[in-house]
Amino acid sequence: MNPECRRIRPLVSAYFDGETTTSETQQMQRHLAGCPDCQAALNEYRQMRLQFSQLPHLAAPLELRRAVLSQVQAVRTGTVQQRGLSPFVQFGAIAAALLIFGIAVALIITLVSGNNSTEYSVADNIITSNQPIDLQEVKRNIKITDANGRAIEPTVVQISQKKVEIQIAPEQNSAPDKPVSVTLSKGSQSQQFTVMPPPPTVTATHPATATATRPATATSTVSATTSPPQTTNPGAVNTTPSVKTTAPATVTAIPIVTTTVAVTATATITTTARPSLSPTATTASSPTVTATITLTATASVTTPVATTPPGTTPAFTTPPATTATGGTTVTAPTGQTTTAATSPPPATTARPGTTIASPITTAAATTKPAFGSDLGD
Amino acid sequence: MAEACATPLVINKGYYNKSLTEGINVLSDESTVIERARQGDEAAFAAIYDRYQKPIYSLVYRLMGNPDDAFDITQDVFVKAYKGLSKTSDDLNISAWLHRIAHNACMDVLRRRKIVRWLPWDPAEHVNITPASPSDEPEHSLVGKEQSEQVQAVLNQMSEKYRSCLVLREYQEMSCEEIGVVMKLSRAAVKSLLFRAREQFREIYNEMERNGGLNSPAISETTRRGRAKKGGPR
Repeated sequence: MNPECRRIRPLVSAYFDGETTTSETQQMQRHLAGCPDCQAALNEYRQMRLQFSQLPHLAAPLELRRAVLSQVQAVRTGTVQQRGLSPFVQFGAIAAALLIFGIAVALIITLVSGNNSTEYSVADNIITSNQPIDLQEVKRNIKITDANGRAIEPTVVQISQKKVEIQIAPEQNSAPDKPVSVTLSKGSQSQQFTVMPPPPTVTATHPATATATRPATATSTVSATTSPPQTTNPGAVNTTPSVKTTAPATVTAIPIVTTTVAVTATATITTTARPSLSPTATTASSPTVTATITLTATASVTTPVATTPPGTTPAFTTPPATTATGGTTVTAPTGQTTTAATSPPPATTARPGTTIASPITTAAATTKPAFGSDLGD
Repeated sequence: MAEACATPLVINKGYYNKSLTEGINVLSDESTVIERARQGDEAAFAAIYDRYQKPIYSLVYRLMGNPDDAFDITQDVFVKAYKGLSKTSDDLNISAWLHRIAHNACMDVLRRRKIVRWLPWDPAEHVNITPASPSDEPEHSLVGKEQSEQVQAVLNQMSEKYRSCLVLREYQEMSCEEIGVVMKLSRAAVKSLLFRAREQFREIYNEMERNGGLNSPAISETTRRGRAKKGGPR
């Protein structure tokens, strides 16, 4: 590439995008007229754009929608519950959490498929393999010893095709703050690695009791999971209706405060496959290793659980804003799963901006009275 | 003195800008939906999800190169969006905002893994992906399929910043200005980045072709690291 080309080449890209100024465009056109190299580069950019235009745009899997909306609902519910706890309950719960705890240590090995021969490597405290994991093989061939040379009997649990979790009981590790030795063998060969176990998971559970005699409002949310009907009208809004039911109920609540303080440490052991080799290839790139070490500490306080006197049957009615038709009334004993049957909604004419309700015919929910803000206000 | 652009900005007819145009047509409706979602309305948020899941999932898929990551990260993106929506201003450009969250999420994951997963493209792993529409499905022709796989294979080997920039421009068909918003870069920086990204794409693509196309071994680690260190192709 001659110096002129080297200087002007960045402009080819900008010119291709229509991002050059008048003088740059003129300069570019003059140069292109006499430079086959830059012409070739421009043509390759065009070819590149053509190739990108042929890449399919992918719709997200349907289960992703369900997963997102379910998490969104959980976020919303979580917020409501947190607001309902009084500072007194929170303080008591956190104090209780400090008293009792358990420990669990977990190592996660993630394996990504790759070549035919199983190879393990370690970097950044991560053991990696290039093969899908065979649970039985791992169980047979894994040996773990702590820093003092004592054998540890791990519990190996299959999480998915690509993941197993290896749990080490804390009492088995005589030196929890030191690395453990992991030996993985296959046939006559074995590979040994040193892995630092993640910090222990600390869980605290402490029951506490309190008595509330004030009237409480039971709230239950009934969510329909059917997919909304699709409309081709631009701008139409599809909704998954959610039916909120409330019912006043007077109960004597004996809340049990369960406090969970979890300090989780996860070592994710990820393997990255070696690039596959073509029959004609003579070289291969070095194996690459992906490492993820996540340390999270969370302290959460679950909402109080209340008991409902036997025989109490709160009635749940749909509020006017709901999309369920027919003003359905559902009666459900607290704590049980209720199935509410509603008629399909009348035919809807979709217009831009119209909210379209799903023709939900059944909705099931477990009713749980929440006492939230009625306690300790 | 600043000079005017001689060439008018290209008006793309592709997927991304098509959706932007629709967005303008239903602007008032979208504002209403966003406002409802901002107040925690799950149904309104579901409508936002339905509208943007395709571009966001596609972007994440192309940046990460595999459906598992695309699933997880897209999920995170929308949950983050739901949580953060209440803090946004009334004049929110939700498309750019979602793309920015998605881009940052991908970069975070890649950074957390310390190195990019330079996995070879495995067509068998991608058999179940759902094309958005029949017109988006070039796999009916063998040539189209091979080309798609090869483009993704090249993308998988590019440095993440270049890959991101190139995907936003050529796949999502964003303008330099829009890319600047998503990547938090000036327009000039985007132009410069695009040039280096294109050159890296050419370099890897040509190297792959010389070595026998898709079945060729990935570019050597040394070469790749050399590129990353120097910040661009040579």
